Amino acid sequence: MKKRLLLLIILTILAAAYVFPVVLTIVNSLRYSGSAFTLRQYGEFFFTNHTAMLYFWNSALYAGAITAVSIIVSFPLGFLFAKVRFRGRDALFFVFVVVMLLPFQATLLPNYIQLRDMKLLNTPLALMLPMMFTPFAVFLYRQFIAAIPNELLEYATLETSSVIKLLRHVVMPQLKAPISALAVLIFCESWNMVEQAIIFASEAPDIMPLSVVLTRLPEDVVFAGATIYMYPVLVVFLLFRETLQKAMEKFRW
Amino acid sequence: MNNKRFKLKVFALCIPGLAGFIMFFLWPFGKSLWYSFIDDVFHKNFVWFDNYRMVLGNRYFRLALRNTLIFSFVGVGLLLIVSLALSMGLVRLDRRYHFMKSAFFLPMLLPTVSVIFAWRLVFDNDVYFAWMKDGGPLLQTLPIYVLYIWKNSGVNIILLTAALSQLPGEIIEAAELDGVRGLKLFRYVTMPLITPVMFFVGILSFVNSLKIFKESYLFYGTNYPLDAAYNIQYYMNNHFLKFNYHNLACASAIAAIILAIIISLIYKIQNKFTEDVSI
Amino acid sequence: MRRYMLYGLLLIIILLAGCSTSDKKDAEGDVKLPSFQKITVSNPASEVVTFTVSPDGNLYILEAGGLLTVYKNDGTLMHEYENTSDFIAVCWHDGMVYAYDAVKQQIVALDTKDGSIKKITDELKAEEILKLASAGEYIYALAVPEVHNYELGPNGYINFGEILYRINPKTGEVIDTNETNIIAIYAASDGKLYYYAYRDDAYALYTFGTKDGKSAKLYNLDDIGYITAFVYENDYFIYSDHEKVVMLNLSDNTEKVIEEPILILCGNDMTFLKGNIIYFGYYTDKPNAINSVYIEDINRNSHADISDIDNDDKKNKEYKEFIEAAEEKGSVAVSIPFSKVYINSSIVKRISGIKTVFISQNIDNQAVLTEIMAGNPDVDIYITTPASYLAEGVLSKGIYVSLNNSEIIKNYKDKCFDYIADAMTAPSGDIWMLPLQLDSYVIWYIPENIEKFDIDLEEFRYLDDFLKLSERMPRTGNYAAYVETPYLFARSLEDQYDMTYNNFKEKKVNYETPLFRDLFDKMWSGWIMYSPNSRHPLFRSSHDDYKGELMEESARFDKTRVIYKYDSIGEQLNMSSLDGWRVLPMPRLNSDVKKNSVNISCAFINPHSKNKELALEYLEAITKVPFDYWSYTCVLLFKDKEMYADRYDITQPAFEDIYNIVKDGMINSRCGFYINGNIIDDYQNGRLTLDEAIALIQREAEMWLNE
Repeated sequence: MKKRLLLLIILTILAAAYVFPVVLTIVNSLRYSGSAFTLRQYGEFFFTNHTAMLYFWNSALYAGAITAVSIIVSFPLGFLFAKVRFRGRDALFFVFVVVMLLPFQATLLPNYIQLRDMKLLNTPLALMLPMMFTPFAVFLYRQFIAAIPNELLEYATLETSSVIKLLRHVVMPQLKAPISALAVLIFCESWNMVEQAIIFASEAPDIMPLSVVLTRLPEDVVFAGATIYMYPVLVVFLLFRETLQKAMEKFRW
Repeated sequence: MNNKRFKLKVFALCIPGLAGFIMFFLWPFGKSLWYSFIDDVFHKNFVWFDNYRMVLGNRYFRLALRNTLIFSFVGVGLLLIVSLALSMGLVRLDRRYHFMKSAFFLPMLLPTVSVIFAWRLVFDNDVYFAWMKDGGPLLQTLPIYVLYIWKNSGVNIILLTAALSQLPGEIIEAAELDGVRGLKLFRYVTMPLITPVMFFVGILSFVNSLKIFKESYLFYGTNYPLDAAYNIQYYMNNHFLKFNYHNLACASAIAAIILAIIISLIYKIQNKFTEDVSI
Repeated sequence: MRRYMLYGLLLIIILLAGCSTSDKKDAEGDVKLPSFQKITVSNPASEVVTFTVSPDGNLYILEAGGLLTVYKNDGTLMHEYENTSDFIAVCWHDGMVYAYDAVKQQIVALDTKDGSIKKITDELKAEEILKLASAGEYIYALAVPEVHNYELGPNGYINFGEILYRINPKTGEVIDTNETNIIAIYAASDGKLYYYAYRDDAYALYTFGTKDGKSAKLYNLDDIGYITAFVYENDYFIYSDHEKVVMLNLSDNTEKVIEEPILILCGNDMTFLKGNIIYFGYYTDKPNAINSVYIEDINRNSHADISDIDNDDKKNKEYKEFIEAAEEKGSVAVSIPFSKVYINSSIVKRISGIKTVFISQNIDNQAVLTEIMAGNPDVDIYITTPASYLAEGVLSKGIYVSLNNSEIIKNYKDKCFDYIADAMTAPSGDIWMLPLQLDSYVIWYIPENIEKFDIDLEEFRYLDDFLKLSERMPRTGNYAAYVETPYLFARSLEDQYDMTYNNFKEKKVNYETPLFRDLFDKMWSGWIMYSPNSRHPLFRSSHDDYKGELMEESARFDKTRVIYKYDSIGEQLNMSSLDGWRVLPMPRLNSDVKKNSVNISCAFINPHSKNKELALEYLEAITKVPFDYWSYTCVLLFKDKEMYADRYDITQPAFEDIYNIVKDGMINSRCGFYINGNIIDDYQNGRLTLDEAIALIQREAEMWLNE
């Protein structure tokens, strides 16, 4: 019993340590040049710098759109790689994984030229399109779908020959939790976008996401900005906590 | 299910995704590979492998590569140990304390920009700076390791706790009856059972170790961080700022090759270990 | 039923009738389009800063140096006030002239009858007041917190962070109206304050409710874009953008150009009185910068011209023939990393017929590099400096169009100094750029004051002596000896070191020498104002809190009180006369440094552009008017002194000094490597010792070279 208690204490301390930076940020956002508890930082952030909220909604738009589109578009691809056998399947998937790992500078200039030729530079689409087709979603989908027993699918194909029906009625229900997990992950990743915004939207400061603006805020408002920027993530996290965990647990090998 | 018509229909559904991938990822990568074989973007003369020779011979590139690989391996190793330890601890707790898992998972979702200020408060003060500049590579890169572990243990813990709690109880009981306990139990019974999960966790951690550049750049705040922190992404970024696009492309090609090798190795090893083919 | 219909009809008719009557106040006389003539006043002003008008038509003109003179409507001098030396903005209100005292930073009132000055408000928290306007019972002040801090926004909007204050002259109360994005203000004869602002992505005219403090948008004027000043009377909107004055009739949307080319700057600027428009501006296509105040009096058809115009008609006529307008030929897109008001595109248009379209260049290095590497077909000409990332990369990769085919440009190159001609030549032998301007930072001194303080000119030669000298300088506030831009001074010293001891092209870079160590220490551990413990008051800007200890603000502008100063050549050449000054090159590190560092800007043609021939013609046109293309700077590119005769006063000994300095110049070009500001910060914070900092710098330099 004592061992359990000790374990509990250690784990609690560690958990607190993990959450500490968040707490630190929030606490600092409530201070203003020395004084302990004041909402002045938020006041300055919202009222004197009132265009800052505009960028917040920009970020929300990008994150939302990217999440929605990538979930829908990667789904069939994940299924393809998981269940459908064809020649070169593993090789192609391998390519997906390798490309996913590359840092973005590798493809930056060709991407820039592409977007410019399509006349999409400095528009919101430039920031959204590349991330909408990220191989990360395909990768995760594949892992999840691979866990679905083949027999289930075989059985379903006896009933219907329509692929769409198969995906909708058989595969999707199995993936409810994983899809929300994936949505949360992609949301958080696209919420984090910084470098693309600087390069692809350099001439149009109005469509920048908040992450870029945050680094240019004056010193004393920075913590409030950081907290507000974290806020949606925290909300999403609290809402989807259970689902996420259940989804992760369903991983099977 | 595996007849031609079915396959074609699935293909058809995949077209948007594939098209997007090819257009925004594959084709740019291909073009940048092409860049690595020419002398510069403007004159477009083929120089074959000259660029590669130059890049591989450059000692800063080798330094960057070495640092990146070291960080990936050491980081992943540490991360696995930490995640495993925490998971094993969590699993032994009562049900009602399992919500604590969430605390570990939170850091993964947080946007980098938000937490970097808090991190700076902890690590970017005069005391630590003094340690850092005199200390060896370990102290210099410690903040980044801590950041990395902090950020990525969450997902690993959730996966591992799930796997650990799904261990077939009978096998463990049988082993305990046989007198296997403690460390031996862990090494010979638990580990092999969770090996598949460990591999997946390993790959995921490896993927995330390459994404640490953003945090590192924001933390050190400079294009030329201390020697031990100089990653291959810094190398690429600096060349980008200097117009040396061909160097950049070479570096990414070399990086891609090495990544490919590592990943295929991991897959091969994993396949040997597990009986399930579907990875 | 019919009765109600009848009543209803009557009501409608009455309503319609009511709507159609104009509720505008009667202006005094219709505003007809003026025609202009000039008359000369009896006592030309040396340099007009701003002006205001009293209701009976007297002009109160404020000159540089603070002399306030009053002229009657026909140009005769009435009075000169002398205790107005610190005024920088004036306006007429209620029988008195209200002004902003720049030193005390207060609004004061000058009684025109006896010349006494009364304080009205307490200290205002603004660095500079651009304009004062009197509307109703209040006085409004358009202020900027920091005059050198501006942001370029979209659609050509330049954001200075303007603040609009409302001042109650009776109580002295100052209120910040919290209106933002204001570009120009005008108090109309109906007693209301109008302002032009850029909000919600559009330019518009607003009225400011003087009683209730609220604003309302009147007209959307997004087609006009950024302006510098305006007058709004009776539905006529008369505005000045940086090239011309246009009268826009808001009711029928007709417009007519009143004057072109002319540049009217913000701040008493333009006003309206009894049917006349009064404005003051700079002609941008005439050889001497002419400051003219024009009173358009429709009744009498006359003007008052207060200027120091060179009345040599012959010269003017020659110039006029020379720049007869050429026919329209198309347009060229020029990418500039600063505001377009500095470029006189109209003069190029006159000569060659080519219109200029300005594209703002991103000041973020990474973004501009990506753009150039990717090849932007929309830009024809890029303007940059050779000492930048941009130029070095472009040159080494060959991303320019060779200008060798142009005989004109080759001749131009031969006229330039040798080192400039070298800079114009790429390694391949082609001419790759056209230099547009050349400036340098030098020491200006007044010989009388130097003698008065027993200073030996040799003390300016080397840095150590110079620093010792500066410690001896008086600190009573009466005399000024200062370094205008300490940060640039420090960087220039770095440049000297780099040019002399390092060779980036051959990859030989060594910062770990005792000389650099000493220099670094001197620069950053207290000599420069950026250090938290700046030791040396010479290097503190006068804007600091220790004001008054070394010199008063006004001493800087008073030639008789300046001992010496470190300032750019362009500043003096353009803004005031060289009379009485002499010039010395900036102090050198040691005897190894043999040349003086200069900065130039250049233009090159984008190889991806579709208009290469037109761009070449554009550059050739610039070579015909090298001194007029770029305002507020100096162009000292030529070997032959006679070429400067029209523009600068070459008889002055100061000019001879300048010429000798520039003759022996070297162009700063560091190939893009700069010492990292973080290292400097860490050194100043005490986190790094001097040796460690130097070692880090050396390391970064090596990495930069060898990556």
